Amino acid sequence: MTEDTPINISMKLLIFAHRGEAQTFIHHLEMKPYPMNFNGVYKSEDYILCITGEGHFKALKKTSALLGHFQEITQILNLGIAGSLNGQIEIGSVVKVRTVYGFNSKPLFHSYTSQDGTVDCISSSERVLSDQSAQVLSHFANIVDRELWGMANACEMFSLPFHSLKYISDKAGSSTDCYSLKDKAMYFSEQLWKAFLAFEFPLANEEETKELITLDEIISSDYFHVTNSQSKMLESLIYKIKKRLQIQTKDLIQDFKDQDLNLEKLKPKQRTNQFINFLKNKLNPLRAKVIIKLESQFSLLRSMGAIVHYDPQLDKKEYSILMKINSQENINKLSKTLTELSFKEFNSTLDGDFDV
Amino acid sequence: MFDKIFIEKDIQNDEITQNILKYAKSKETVLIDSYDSIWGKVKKPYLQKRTNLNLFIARKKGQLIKETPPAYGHGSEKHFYHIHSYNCIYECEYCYLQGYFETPDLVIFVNHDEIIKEMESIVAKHPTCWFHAGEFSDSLALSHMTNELSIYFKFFKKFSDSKLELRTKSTNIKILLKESPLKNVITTFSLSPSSVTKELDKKTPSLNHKLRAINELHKSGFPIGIHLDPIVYSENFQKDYETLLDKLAEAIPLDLVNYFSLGVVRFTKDVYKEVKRNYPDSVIHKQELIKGHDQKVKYPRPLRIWILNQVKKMALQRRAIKESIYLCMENE
Repeated sequence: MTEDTPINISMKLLIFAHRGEAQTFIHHLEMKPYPMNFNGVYKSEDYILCITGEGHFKALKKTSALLGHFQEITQILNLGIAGSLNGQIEIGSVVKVRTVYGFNSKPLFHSYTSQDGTVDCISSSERVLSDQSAQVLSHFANIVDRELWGMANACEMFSLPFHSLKYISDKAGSSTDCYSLKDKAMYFSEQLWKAFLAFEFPLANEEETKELITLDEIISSDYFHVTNSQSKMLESLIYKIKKRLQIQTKDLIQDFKDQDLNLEKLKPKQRTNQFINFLKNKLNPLRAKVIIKLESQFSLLRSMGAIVHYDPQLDKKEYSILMKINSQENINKLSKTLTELSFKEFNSTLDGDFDV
Repeated sequence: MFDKIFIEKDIQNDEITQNILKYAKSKETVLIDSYDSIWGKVKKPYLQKRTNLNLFIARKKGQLIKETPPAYGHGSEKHFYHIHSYNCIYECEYCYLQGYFETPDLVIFVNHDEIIKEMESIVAKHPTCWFHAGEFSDSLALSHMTNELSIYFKFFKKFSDSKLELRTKSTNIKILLKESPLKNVITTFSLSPSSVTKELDKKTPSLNHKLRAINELHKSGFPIGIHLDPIVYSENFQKDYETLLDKLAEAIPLDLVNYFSLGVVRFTKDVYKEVKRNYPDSVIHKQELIKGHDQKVKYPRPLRIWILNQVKKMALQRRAIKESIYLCMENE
């Protein structure tokens, strides 16, 4: 790579079964062959294109290899022809696939669902050349292809979303003529190109884009120190609060600071913990009431330096007490406090006896 | 209504099959050997029931009646459920069926004669037992199509010590009203506050329609049970349930309700995964849920018990009989 070559951090992978279907794309996107251990890979600035060949296995193998090799791939789009299995899908139309099922002499249990789409497809491991085979497949989907299930399987392994655009070339079954389809490859490729353009450059959506929730304002401030696990917890809590209470992050932080908690005396990491507790209470005020009641029951023990641990899920009716003993006075105080401790009160709090 | 209807060849001329076909509309009808060679063979996403719901008409093989889990149902008798159908035409966001079967496609079984035979042998051992219809499907929603209620009424008239629960969210009571009420056949309605019904119980009739159906059945002498389950907590929960119980008391005096079952929303781990996937923005996720020691995803214990006690108190204040209220699946 030369100094002038920009590093593209996000690329799209276009998957085709046949070269004929891909030809318009290779031309219009000015794609160059890319050397891999197998043929049929092309690359341009924004796209990688792969011709997998027919069948689940080839599609799975080549898609997996490419997703492992190009870690900058963020989206996968399959384009190709498919056969109609019944009269429900019009020949000559282009459809977006919703769910893809697999068939290899019997139905394959796993299915994969795309990001969008309206028509279900079944990928057959063999060409569908009899009406009987087409009928069996039609129990599961309205169209049939050869490669999508394998490709989608690889996408799932890499946790990447996929889309699929299918041009409905013919009716699958005894009337399928593979030679005639090959002759029409250029036409199919052009139709797929048109569908691709509409997919890639949809009309601008006038709907307001929703505000994205970021933690930047928290993480980047000196006021808090946020660890990775705290960051995940904060993200989840803030998301829930925004959704439920429609409070913005900055207002939450202000509310937190407005509490009389001597926050300034705390270290940034302790403040983050306090903030997480504050958010939890905000989100689950009833839980907060239970905690307050439990804490008041254990306040004497805590003031003596005992550590009281109860089930944070508030599910198990038990608790443990840990205390360092270094004098007879400790023992006397502890035994007096334990005598006054009521398990019944603890029990009834966990059974929902608290004021709202 | 349905995308495709699959019919097992052996039962294509069955009376119930023919009756179903009178009502069920589809783009295509296909004859097959056995429903289980297609149904559930591939993982079909749950939400495809909105646009591509298939119907299978079949004969149930294997076990037709199963014993319920502990803490299920009212009273100390044995409880069983019989399987007359798989899946449901409604779409409730908390429904456990979305994680239970691998497909939302509906199966209606037509071999009620075999179910009745199995019921007979159970009743011989447990004369006062309960049978529940509606474990895997709504009991009444398609009863005009399946038309099997008369078979069960005949059976329970004869075995009057055993009981049948018809559990529903529908208002499809036309066929039921043709029967003479039996005190051991109880129609139970699952109710939620109006706003929850609208938001979570998709495609089910409104609360007012359900209350009207309850009132009509009650006036005609049919015993009624009420499931306030699952209760989903919201900020307006207390006000919502007070309104619901006030309205219910207008439809049927609460002291005449055979039983109330109360339960809070809860899931197995797998079902919760599906709920999150299918309804990521559901109000269900707004309140804290924990994974309990029984591996169920549910509200923390204090909140759970507090909710149940609040609703129980509200029902008692409206003259419900204390002994008629039980807490479903809350056996601690």
